Amino acid sequence: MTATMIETERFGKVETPLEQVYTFPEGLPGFPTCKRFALMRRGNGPMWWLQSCDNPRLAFVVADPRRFLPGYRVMATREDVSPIGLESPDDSMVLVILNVPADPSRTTANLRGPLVLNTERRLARQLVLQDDFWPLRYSVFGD
Amino acid sequence: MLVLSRQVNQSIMIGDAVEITVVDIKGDKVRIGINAPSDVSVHRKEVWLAIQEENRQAADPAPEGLDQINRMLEKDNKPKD
Repeated sequence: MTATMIETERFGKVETPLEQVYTFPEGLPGFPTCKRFALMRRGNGPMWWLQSCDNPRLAFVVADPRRFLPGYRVMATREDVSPIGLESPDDSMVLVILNVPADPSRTTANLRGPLVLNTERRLARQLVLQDDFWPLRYSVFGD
Repeated sequence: MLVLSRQVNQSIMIGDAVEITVVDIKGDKVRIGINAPSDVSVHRKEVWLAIQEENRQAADPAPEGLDQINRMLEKDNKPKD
């Protein structure tokens, strides 16, 4: 398996399999120049770090939303997923960014802007859902 | 800012690929139709700004946070497993 060395502020240099490195062609809203991110698992929990490969300081905590909200569904349009060449849901994975404050019991998940990953081509994109059904700040552990 | 007057069903072209059409006007609400190539993303500005701000706030959490959340979620999941 081919791997790449990614420099991170938190974990030092981390050898990461290339299949865990995703390109966000548009970057992320707010971080348009950061286009490559690695999904890094630390420990055994359901969370990952989404670590920027371009900026050692930039990382997000991301999770599979169905771990805390089994009914979560993303209704993506063709326009939503064509930039990452996604043709079949079988090749996709949906993750959401968690906002972890000083008190982690108040962690919220951004369900309005899910990350859709094309696992086959390792391209990804943060969607901005037009529908306001899913909130920007969903309380992961309840209120 | 360039300001143009348009009536219902009239359009504006931005470059040769993006077309903005005034679909309907009712009171102070304007419905706008947008034709754009699939690589041009179109968003309501306030939603786009909210996602940007949320990303900025979510960036760079403390590593201890992740360990704690992992533990809390695993506890949460146990009764259901």
